[in-house]
Amino acid sequence: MEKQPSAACQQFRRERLLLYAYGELPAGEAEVIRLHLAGCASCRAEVEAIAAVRAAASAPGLQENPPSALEARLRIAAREALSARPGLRERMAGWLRQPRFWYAAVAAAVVVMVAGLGYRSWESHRARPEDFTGDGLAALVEEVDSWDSPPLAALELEPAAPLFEELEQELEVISPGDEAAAEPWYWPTPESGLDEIERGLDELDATVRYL
Amino acid sequence: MIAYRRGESKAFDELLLRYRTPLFSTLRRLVGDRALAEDLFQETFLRVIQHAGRYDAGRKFSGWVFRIARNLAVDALRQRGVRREEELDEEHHDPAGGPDRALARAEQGEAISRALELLPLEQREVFLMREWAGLSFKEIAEVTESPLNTVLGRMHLAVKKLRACLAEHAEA
Repeated sequence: MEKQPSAACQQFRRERLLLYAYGELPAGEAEVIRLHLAGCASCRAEVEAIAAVRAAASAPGLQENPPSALEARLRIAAREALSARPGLRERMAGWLRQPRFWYAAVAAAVVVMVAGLGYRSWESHRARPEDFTGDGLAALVEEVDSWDSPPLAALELEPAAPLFEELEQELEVISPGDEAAAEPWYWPTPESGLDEIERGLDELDATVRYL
Repeated sequence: MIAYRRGESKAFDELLLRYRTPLFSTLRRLVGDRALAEDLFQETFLRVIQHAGRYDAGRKFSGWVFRIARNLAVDALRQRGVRREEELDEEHHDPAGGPDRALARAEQGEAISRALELLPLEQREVFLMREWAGLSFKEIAEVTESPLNTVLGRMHLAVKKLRACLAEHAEA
């Protein structure tokens, strides 16, 4: 026995059945409707009526074409519009006349300049393996000793040179150019003693600068 | 449309070939006047050419072109003084002597053609854009700037009226 149309069916009809009849429902929902139609004569009649109207609306002779002369005029207009379009040179000249182009160019130049300066600064402060060879380390120590600033004295910090000499006795410091021949443990790693020295010097540098 | 914008003139020919029948037929039924439909069809495609650079490649061309055409048609009907309220009333005073007699004499194609003209503009445009232009209900909602449920409601009423006309024709 077939079900009578319910209030839910009425809402079903109005929206869902239209979407179903025009194939615009997702597969899952369409399957639900299909199952419902099998047991609901009212909704089935609605879908059949939609199909009948669709068939009538697609009857031959109902749709018309515009006059061919009109189409020809439009084709000519489309070609003329393309040929009248400014070339690359004209377009570039147009960009140059726009203030927005110049704002963008200045902004791009500033970004490139800042990035370049930042890279140079990073490059000049970056630690290199040669900084930890005998000469490199000695140069660092000399630099620290040369500060000889009142804040350093105020901190009652000892000059770095004795510390270096002490370390040099413990570590076989690599001579410049001998890096390749050195044992792996001589190379600065996060765990190495040379890194510790570098960190200490950095902290000292930062403290002095702060003072 | 993207190919046309790149400079390929043949792409425009393809667009014209694809949309001339559904677009012209829809315009013809919307405004009910062939000469006006021709003017609107021409103006629609001239705007497509003129504003090719503004076309959003992420959206369907059919929605864009039907939106232009539909807006032009609505403006033209307004200029002619055809208000929507009058359109709604039109089915009650058919100059040909009433839909019953007209539909009884006509073949089915002619019957639906006449019935289409008797539909209010809002229902007619939804029916034509879905049936002849092949726009989805969601696209029609975008073109007409109406909620999807409103579009479906209009379509429901259009189908109901067309079905009644077809039934009367079948009985006659």
